Amino acid sequence: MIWLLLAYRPFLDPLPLPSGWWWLTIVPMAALISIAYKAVRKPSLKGFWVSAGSMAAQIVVFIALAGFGVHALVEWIVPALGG
Amino acid sequence: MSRSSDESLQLGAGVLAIVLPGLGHAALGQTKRGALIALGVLGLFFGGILIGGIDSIDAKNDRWWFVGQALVGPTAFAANWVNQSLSSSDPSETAGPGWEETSPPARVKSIAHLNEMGMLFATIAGMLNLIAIIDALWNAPAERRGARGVVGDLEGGRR
Repeated sequence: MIWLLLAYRPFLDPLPLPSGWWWLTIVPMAALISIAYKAVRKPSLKGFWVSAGSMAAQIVVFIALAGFGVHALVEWIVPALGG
Repeated sequence: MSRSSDESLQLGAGVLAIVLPGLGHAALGQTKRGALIALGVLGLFFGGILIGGIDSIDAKNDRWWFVGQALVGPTAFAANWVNQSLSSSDPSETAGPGWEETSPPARVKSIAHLNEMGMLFATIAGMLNLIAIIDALWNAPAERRGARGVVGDLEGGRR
């Protein structure tokens, strides 16, 4: 792992994230989407960060719920129906 | 999609919004709004490159992703140019059988989830910038933004 980090060149090479942790990138993605969207959408920038933070939290929660739903369908419901 | 007469077409702001995310709004005097748009759009775009590497912007091999990414403007074309230049100068991508790597590649080709997330970040950046470009093009005076903006119209005026 240390060799991977030493050889890493930001913006040229992919981020040396440990395998299986890629989903953490959803959090900054939700935050930045919310900032850009609310910057265009809000009539006034008063309370901007609360509004953007709330939207980011909603995106992350709903992605997590959707992930849990698909997991339940594939791992539990479909096997149960199939016997 | 009805508009009142004081909501005018701002061609200059639209062009500036294409040149650099947020610049259109800044030119209309909405500096803070423009800065926030730039933070969101460019943060997503360069965040994508940080996560997936420069290979996330690839008009040659990921053409349809690049269609969305191109909406970020000249920045996306510059990133693609850098990626194609590195790719063509990399001996590991053109060498035949028996070639042995003695120096690090110009850039590591990204694969799997990190490549997907990198491309997704940059493509969402482009799509959000399209909304910002449209908003800069038909920008209502600041005091009327609350009544009905372009995005408000697209959402059926929902507040």
